[in-house]
Order: sequence, then structure tokens, then C-alpha cells
Amino acid sequence: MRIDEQKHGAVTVLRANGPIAGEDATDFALRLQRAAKETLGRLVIDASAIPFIDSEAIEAMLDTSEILGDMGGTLKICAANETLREVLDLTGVASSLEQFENISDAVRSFL
Amino acid sequence: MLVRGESVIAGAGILSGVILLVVMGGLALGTHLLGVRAAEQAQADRANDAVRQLASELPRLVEQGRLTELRRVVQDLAINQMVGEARVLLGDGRVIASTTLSEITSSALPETLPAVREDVAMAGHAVETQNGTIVIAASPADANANDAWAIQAAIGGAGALALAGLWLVYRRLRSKIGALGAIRDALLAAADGETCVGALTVSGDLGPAARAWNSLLSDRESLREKMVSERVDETLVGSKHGRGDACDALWHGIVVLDEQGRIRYANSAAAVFLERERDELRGLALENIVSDTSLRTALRRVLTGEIKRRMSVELGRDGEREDVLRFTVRPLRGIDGGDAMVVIEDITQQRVASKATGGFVAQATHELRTPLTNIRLYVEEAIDLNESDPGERSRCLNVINQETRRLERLVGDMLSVAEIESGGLSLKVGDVRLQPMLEDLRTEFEANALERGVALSFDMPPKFPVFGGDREKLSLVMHNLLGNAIKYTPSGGKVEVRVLASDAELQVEFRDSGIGIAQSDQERVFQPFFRTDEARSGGFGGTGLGLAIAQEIAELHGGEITLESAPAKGSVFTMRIPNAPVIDRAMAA
Repeated sequence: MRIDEQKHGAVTVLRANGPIAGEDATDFALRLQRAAKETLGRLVIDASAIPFIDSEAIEAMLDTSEILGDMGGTLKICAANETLREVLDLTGVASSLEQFENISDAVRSFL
Repeated sequence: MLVRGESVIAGAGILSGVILLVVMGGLALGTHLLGVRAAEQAQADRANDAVRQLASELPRLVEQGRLTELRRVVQDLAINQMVGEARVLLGDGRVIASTTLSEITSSALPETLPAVREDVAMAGHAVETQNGTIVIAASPADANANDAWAIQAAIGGAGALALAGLWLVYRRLRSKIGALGAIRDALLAAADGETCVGALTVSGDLGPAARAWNSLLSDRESLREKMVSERVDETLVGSKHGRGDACDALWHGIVVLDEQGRIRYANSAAAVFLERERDELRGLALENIVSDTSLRTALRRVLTGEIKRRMSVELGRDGEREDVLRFTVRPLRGIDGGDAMVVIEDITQQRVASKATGGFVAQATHELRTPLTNIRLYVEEAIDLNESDPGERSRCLNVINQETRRLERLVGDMLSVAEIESGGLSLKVGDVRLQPMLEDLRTEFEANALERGVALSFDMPPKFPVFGGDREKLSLVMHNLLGNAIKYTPSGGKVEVRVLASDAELQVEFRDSGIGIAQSDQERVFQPFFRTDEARSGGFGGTGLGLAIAQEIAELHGGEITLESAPAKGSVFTMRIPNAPVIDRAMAA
């Protein structure tokens, strides 16, 4: 799985390409947590190319959400597909995130 | 910039270039020196010939008073005969002819030549004429090394051409072999557990093979993603038909609890781990399903907000299998507050692997500590004894020596087991001469058997075929089997080694009348570090590695070791090795 990093001003957008499961989830967790610390909370996950995530990836999002929460921020995710939204809703993770329809809305929310 | 696998090619290319340059430089220098020396010799020979010719004509010219002709002949020596300097001297030192006109100090030839002074005679070659003695002094011209430099230049040119050729070969190799080296490195990295596609990808510049490899990696990644997606799709299709939801594709169990600890949501994996129907779970308190104090405490601390981070509890699951489940409890932040998520994982395999590793380390530490303690004690005793009791001191040194050998064997066995565990044990196959190997075995163990009061006998065929195998490793197998047979046979017992060798198979039987092995232990004796209770309680030394190593080596040869035994009746270990192409596990892998 490839994870692309884009800068939108002071906001960093991580775009994962493919399902996040198994070993990929470990890489995803490391990238997320590093980015959260480096960007001081100005972080967005672009989920437009993520068809599915597993429990480890869910935990990675929760861990990152906690880190950002300690900084006074919230993890933001955009363009999640129906499956991903369902997973986030069912597991209660959605309540720890801010969800947006697209990158522009997510980036603008920092302004 | 070098890419994966190119370093070997570059290194070989640079080394070849340096060697070529050194060889070419040496050749050029040697050729130049030889050329100069040969030119000097040729010049000297030609000058000597010319001077001899002058000497033969000189009397006639002097006697006839033909000074002008004499001077022309001398000039000719410098121009045509390669003589550097030539002078014709009168006995008193005056110069009557010279290759350098300004040196001439006598314009006429006296009728009576003056007597030759000693210093003038020393300056050249004296020639007798009717008018008296005259002296010729000559030296050859500087050697002309043009020819040698030409050869050197030719060699230099050839060297430059060779270097250019080498560079072209390197470029060619880089594209041909460089790809193979890079792919080999990537395969080794994959074998070491590297899974990241980016790390396994090689430079596409290395040619079509490299691009094909990258394409293969890409296809593999796509296939993996497709498999995950298909699994998700299957789940989603099931969801649309009311059979599940997106979280049912997860391998781990997910349980979401409300602030009271009641289950608000559980996926199908959680239902399996909790051994309940999924529909039953909703509304139940998790602590009533899994009644464990540590889990209950973790749930309470997270749900009350006492702990803001995750907590993990590992629990053994009841049943025939020793399953272990890990419950990770973590708070869910959000507007609802007080909720928690529990992830349930089956970590049985991780535990088994961890236990095996821990057991190995504990056993290895124990086995190493015993000889080390003995060595330390006997060293201290030997130091205390000083020179007062040489006999006792010698006994201490013997014990230290034995324990050191034991340590050496133990470390060797552990390395072999490590090789087996990693799949790195391989064979060096060659022709094995069985008779001397077995004779060595007998010689090595005869004294040991005699000391223990065990009768050792060998039954061997009169003739052995040439056998294909790894001599050292086969010797190690037989060493281990015979060593065990003697060790576990009490005094007064016997050990027989019976060898049957045909063109097709080698069979060696080690029969002892020792303590024997219970039926329940007979399979486990081939596991690393396993030792029977009888072996432990009987005070027999050993690591429990010898049979594991022997069995692995026999299997690598395509053979086996079998065991027949009964307690107090003795054991028969039989090694059977086919005399056929040998299976090299490392190569096969």
C-alpha cells in the first residue's frame, strides 16, 4: 500500500491507496502518528482510495485521535466510502473523528 | 548512484580496471627500460666498430700526411657512425682532429710525432704509426630510446583501448547481470521478512528483467488488494441481505460498550470468540460473559474515565485447546462519552512461539551454566593450590579441560539447532569413504566404552561402496548415536554397531542394552532439548540436542533415524540413508 503525503498550506493530507489491513495497518499507524506530531494537529486522512480498513487501522485512528486530542485537535477524515463510514459508525470511532465530503472542506475547516 | 545489486558489478569492474592499469603500467615501464638498455648496447657496439675502423686507417693517413682526410673521417664518425665524441690526439695532448672543430689545437701534423704522455695514453686507444704513436679517444652517442617510447606509447594506447572495452563490458554487465543481482537482493530481503513493495522494487534502468520483476511485485500487490476487497465485497453483499455488516470482514472481534459496560455492538468475530450467538450479545454486560477479575477491573477503569488509554488483558480460553485471547479495552471519545471499544484477538500462535523461544533460552542458559560453574570452581581451586600439590592441580586442569570441551560441544550443537530452526542447515555433498569413517568412530569410542565397562563391538561388511553424502555431518550423526548408546548403557552392558551398506542404501544400527526409552517419550526424544526423566534423574550429562541434530541431518540426506526401545531393555537407533541424489534443503528453498 502506498501512502502519499500532500501539503495544503500548513495542513498535511495523507492519502492511502488501497485497503489498510494486516502489515499495511502497522505502516499506516506509524505514518499517522508521526504526521500527527510533526504537523501539530493539522492533519487530514484522504480516504477516497481506501476501500476497507481492519481493526488495527481502526486502533491506529483512535491512537492518532488521542494524540491530536491532547494537542486540542481532532482527527479529520474526508471522502470515506460507504463501507468505511459504516465501519467507523459501528465501532463508535466516528464519534472521535470529524468527517468531510472532500479534501477542500477538510482543509478549510482548519481556517 | 548505485542501485540494489549494482555494487557487486561496480566493485568487480573497478577492481578489474585497477588490475589492468597496474599490469599495463608495469609492462610499459619494463619495456621502456629494456628498450633503453638495448639501444645503449647497440650504440656502444657501433661506436666501437667505428673506432676500430678509424684505428685501422689512421696509420696510413698519418704516414701520408693526409690530415684533412683524417678530420673528415672523424667528422663522419659523429654523423654516420653514431659516435658521440671522437678526438685524435698527439702524444703531448694536442688535438689534430675532433668531432668538435673548436677542440682542434694543432693545425698541422708534425713530421715526428711527440712521445705519448701517460695521461694522454689513459684518455684513449694508442695507435702505432711509422711516425710515432697517436691516440684515439671516443665515446658513443646517447642512446636513442625513441623505439622504446614508441612501444610504450603503443602499449599505452592498447591499455586505453582495453579500458574503454572494460567500460563497455561493465555497462553491458550492469544491464544484464546487475538486474539479477538486484532481484537476488530483493528476494533475500523478502526472505528476511521485508514486505514493503517499495523496498523490494529494483531500478527499472537495469533492463527488462528488472522491469519484469517490478511488474511481478505490482501484480502481487494488486492481487492482495483484490483479495481483501473481494472479502469485503462478500461481507457487504451479506450485509445487504441482512446477514452481517462491514465489520464482519474483520479478523479481530470488535465489541462496543456503552457507559454501563453493556454491549451495544459486536461483530461476528467477537461472537465467535465469546462463544455466543451474535443476536444474544446486544444488551449483555461483557463482564457477565467473560467473568475474569482483571478484565472486569480494566473495563471499570476505562468506563469510569479513570484510565484514558488502552488496557490489555490476556486470558486463557476454557476447552481442550490452550487458546489465549487478548482483550484490548480503550475509551471512545466523543459526544456520547463513557463508551469503550474492546478488540479481541486470538494470540495463541504468538504465545506458542514465545513459549518455545523462552524455553529454548532457559534450557540453553541452564546447560551453559553448569560447565561454566565447574570451570570457575576448579580454576579457583587450582589457584589456591598454587604449586603445593601438583597432582591435585593437574586433576583440576583435567576437569577444566573436560568442561571446556563440553561447552564447545554444547555451543556447536546449539549453532546446529539454530541452523535447523532457520532452515539454513545445508550439506556439502561428496564421495564418502565409509570404512575409514567407521574405523575412526571405533577408535574414538573404544577407550570411552572400556572406561565405562561397556562392551563395544562393530559388525561391518568386508567391502563398502562409494557413498554420496556430507562426510562431516554423517560422522556427526554416528558420533551422536554411538555416544548416546554408550552413555545410557550401565557398566557390564554392551553396545553393538551393525553396518549394512549396499549400492542403494547405508544402514547403521546402534543397539544397546541400556536404560531404554518409554513409548510415550519415543517421538519426543528427537525434539531439541528434550530429555527423558530417566536421563535427567540418572545423572547423565547432555543437552538434548544430539538426536534432534542427527534426525535433521538424516532427513537432509533423504533418509531417517528410527527408534525401537523399551524401558530397562535397551534401545536400537537405526540410521538409513539412501545412496542417491541428496536433498539439499537450502538449495531447494
